[in-house]
Amino acid sequence: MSKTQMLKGVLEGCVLQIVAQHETYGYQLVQELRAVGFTDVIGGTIYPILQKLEKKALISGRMKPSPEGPRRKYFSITPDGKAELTAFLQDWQEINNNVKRIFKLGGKE
Amino acid sequence: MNKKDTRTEKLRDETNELKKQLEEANAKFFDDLRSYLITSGIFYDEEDVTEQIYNVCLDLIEAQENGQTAEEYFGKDSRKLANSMIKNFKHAGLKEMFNITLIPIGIFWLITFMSDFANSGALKINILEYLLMAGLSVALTCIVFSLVHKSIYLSENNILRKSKIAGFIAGTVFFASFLLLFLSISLWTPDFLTIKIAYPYDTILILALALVSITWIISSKQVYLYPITPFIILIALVGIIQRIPGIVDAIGTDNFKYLSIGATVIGFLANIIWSRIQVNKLSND
Repeated sequence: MSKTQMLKGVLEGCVLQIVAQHETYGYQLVQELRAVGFTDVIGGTIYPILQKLEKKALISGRMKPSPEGPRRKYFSITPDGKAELTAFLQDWQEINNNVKRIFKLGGKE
Repeated sequence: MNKKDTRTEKLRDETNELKKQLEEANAKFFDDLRSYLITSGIFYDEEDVTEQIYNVCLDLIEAQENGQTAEEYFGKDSRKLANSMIKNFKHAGLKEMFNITLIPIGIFWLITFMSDFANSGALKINILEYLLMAGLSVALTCIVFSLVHKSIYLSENNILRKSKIAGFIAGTVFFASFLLLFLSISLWTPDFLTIKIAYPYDTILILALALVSITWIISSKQVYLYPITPFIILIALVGIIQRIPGIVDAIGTDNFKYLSIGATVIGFLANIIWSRIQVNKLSND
């Protein structure tokens, strides 16, 4: 399985978590993801995720002036997004623990 | 123009201004991406699409300021990535869809109507012909959008990209087929659904339709339709003059024929020249 495929589902949760921490926009989001280690993340991957999350009303976007001058779209988390994030964290922890357990048993960790 | 259209136009203008900050290679990348997204379909929410493009442009500028190329920031496989964005575009509402289809239908109906009222005698409106023209106009708009969309990220090996002659032949065949279809509808649509409108109602209708279409073009700032306005005025004048009793006799039948042909040619030339000026202005912008 490729890294991109593994990342697909996880990235949505990570984007939601960053947006939950502070209002942000496309470019800034990509930079933050790269800074924590997702160095392969590109703008082209993030825009559809932001669109999808906004469509599902998990985040909401509003145009407001940026420090650089022109107004741009900033995203913030919605109450539904917060609930989704909690669910994602629980699911992630469960998956993470299960994967850890399997690899410990197999002695491959 | 409603508030949503105004917002969309403002975003479009701002994007054009912002694009000037992009370096040549990045600007080319952005132009291709923008054209690909815009031509993805006519039934997407125009404001949503324009807003996405505007924000991508801002992000590309920021990436450029930080030493990244557009390709490095957005990704190499722009077509695949853009397709993921298209999948998530908001669809236009029913009212907006209706308005979108109204433009091509309106243009085709106007052309059909103009040819109807340029004919002498009572005005004849073939309803079936107008319905077929409406279908043809929407189909043509969708096909043109789809062709432009598909042509943007054509592979280097594609024959249409490699050979200008192949492109020219394909374009000629396409427009010849369209013209053939248009003429077939005009000439051979059975007239079992035809309405006849006699004088003075035909003259009133021509005048009203010409006024309504020109007022709509100007008031809703349909800039791309401005070049067609001289044509509408001249053909409407010919249609009205020939229906007013006694005028054709006073001018002379032959003279009137020359006048009609002259009006059509002048209208057509004005349309071409004005369109050309508009295209040059857009290219310079």
